[in-house]
Amino acid sequence: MSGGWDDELAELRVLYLREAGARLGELDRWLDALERDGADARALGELRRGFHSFAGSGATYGLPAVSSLGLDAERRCTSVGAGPAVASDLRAWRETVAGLRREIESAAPAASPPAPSTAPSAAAPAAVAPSVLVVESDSKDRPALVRGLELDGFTVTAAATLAQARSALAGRLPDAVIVDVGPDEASGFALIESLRAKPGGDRPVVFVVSPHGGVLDRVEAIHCGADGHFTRPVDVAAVVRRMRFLLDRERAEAPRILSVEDDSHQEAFLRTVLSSAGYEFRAVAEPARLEAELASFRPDLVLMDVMLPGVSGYDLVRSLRQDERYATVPVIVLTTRGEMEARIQATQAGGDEHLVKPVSPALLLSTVAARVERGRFLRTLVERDGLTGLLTHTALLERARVSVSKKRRDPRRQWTWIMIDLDRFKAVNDRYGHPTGDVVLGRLAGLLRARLRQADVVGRYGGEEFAVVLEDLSGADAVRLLERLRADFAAIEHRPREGGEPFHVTLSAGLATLDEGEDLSSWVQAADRALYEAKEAGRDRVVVATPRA
Amino acid sequence: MKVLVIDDEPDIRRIARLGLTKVGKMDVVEASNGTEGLARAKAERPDAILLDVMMPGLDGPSTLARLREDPDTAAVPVVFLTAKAIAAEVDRLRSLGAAGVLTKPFDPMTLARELRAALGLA
Repeated sequence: MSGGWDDELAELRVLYLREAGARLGELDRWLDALERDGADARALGELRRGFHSFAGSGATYGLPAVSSLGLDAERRCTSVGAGPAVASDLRAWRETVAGLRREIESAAPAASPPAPSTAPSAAAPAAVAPSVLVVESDSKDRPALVRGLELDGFTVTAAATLAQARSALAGRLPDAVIVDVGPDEASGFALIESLRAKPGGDRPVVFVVSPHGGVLDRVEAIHCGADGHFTRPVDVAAVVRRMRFLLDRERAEAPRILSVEDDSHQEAFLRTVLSSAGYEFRAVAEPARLEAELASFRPDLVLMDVMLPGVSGYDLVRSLRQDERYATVPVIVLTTRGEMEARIQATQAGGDEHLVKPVSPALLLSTVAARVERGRFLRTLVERDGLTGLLTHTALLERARVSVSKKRRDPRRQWTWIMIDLDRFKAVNDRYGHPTGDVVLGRLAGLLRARLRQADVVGRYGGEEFAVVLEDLSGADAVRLLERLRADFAAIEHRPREGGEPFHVTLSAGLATLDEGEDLSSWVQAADRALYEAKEAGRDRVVVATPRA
Repeated sequence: MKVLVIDDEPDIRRIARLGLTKVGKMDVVEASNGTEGLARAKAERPDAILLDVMMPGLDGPSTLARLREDPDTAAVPVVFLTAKAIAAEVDRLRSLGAAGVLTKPFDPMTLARELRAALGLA
């Protein structure tokens, strides 16, 4: 479904709110002119037009208060006529402008323009588990939500009332906040707004849970500064997945945009706008080279011009969609024809979105950001293991294959494959039941994710077997890191779900650094053999693979 | 069905376009003032025109009069868009030969339906 009603309306609303700020500034200037000369005809005319326009548009954009403020002020303009305006008129108009500004600002999303925040950032190793504050007036959902988050490696703090939440937010801000707005929605939203207003308050991921799932609730939640909205009863897995995705996004590499465009002016425009917003940009002028660029650049999104030499952009989109490797890559089709027909053609060919040239930079950025995020999110659903949120076996091998080919090009770089297996895990499942076993698996997944860097690849290799590919770390450092991880995991106290004494689980690991010229299967087997040796030697230990060849 | 929206405010044109295309499945062409509207009406031959009343330069009523003077555009039904909802104003606009009058602010969700109703198509 491309460009749904809600998305477009929300987009237009953001645009409206942004432009309204500038228009209020103009009204201030006309009022200044009237302070100097109450009969300034131009100022009176412009003022009336300005208020008239707020009166006519506010409610259309879901802001009835803007319309009524505008209407009152416009009426005063009409009665003042050619002037001169007196002090009481000016005071009333100033108050209206202030009122309009309050309405506009409280409706505007707290975050500045979307997406560009996804710019590349240094991948710092996260030493601690991400923290979540759950603010919940209705405690029915809380146990499941808290458990789901903890299972995924989050540290959870709960607040039963808004007052508790406010004091929890007075100190160090958590990485994420989930607010159940309950029946008193306004104060729930006010809490989020006050969080967003704090220094650094734009960083936490904020979700709102409310009893209704209407479009307006959703819009309301997003405009008060929330990153997502869920309806009660919450789908815990969906909340955790979305939260993990948004938190990971912070540390993710810059999204790559591939533009298929033969017009050099247009290309320059796209490059300027997208590069300055932090995207990695590459352009192809000849359709024939598209295939090669897709394979080497692996774009997160394709911008496709329709008018290309010798071939229609629609046909290119169609052929791209037939290749399953690129089936999930979002495509935005750019046309100069703004007609319905072009839009239908774009959709039929498999384009996700259709923009008419000339495109404003703001619309381009917001559309690209929304599509890139959705595309990445969809990919995580396909590539991630449902229980642990780590990469699946297939996705993991796919990443490892990339490392092997990078090593061929640059033998100085180092990669280490680590195979990790829980010790006597079958006994844990047999004794405490699978739900408890799943919690143990989740703990290990959480620990791995918290300790490793973004560039490192972590996956679930099989049942209780995990694999990690470490990038650019010497063999000795890798062993040190792994030894600490082993000790920390062994120290974790697990509690059986059905009650009873807490217990501990240990892990064994095998580690192999990638040799020059070695292929993937030899590398993986080496780590696997090392793991086997660790098990043979009595478990709860790390073994380094013997050199091959 | 193709609708020409003549309004000096981009906010209004954008959201009218959204309502008319997404909900009403209509085609929309736009003009940002009366003069441009006359040219677009002649070139595009829309099925209906949604015309803002208060615009700088050529205002809504003057634009309507000019549309009626040109045989190419004389028969196109025109619906006014006005922020003044008072009855006297609506009657005055109707008396100028408009097919209908819609008021601002409008609900983008129902704009297409109201336009159809004003044109006697609903």
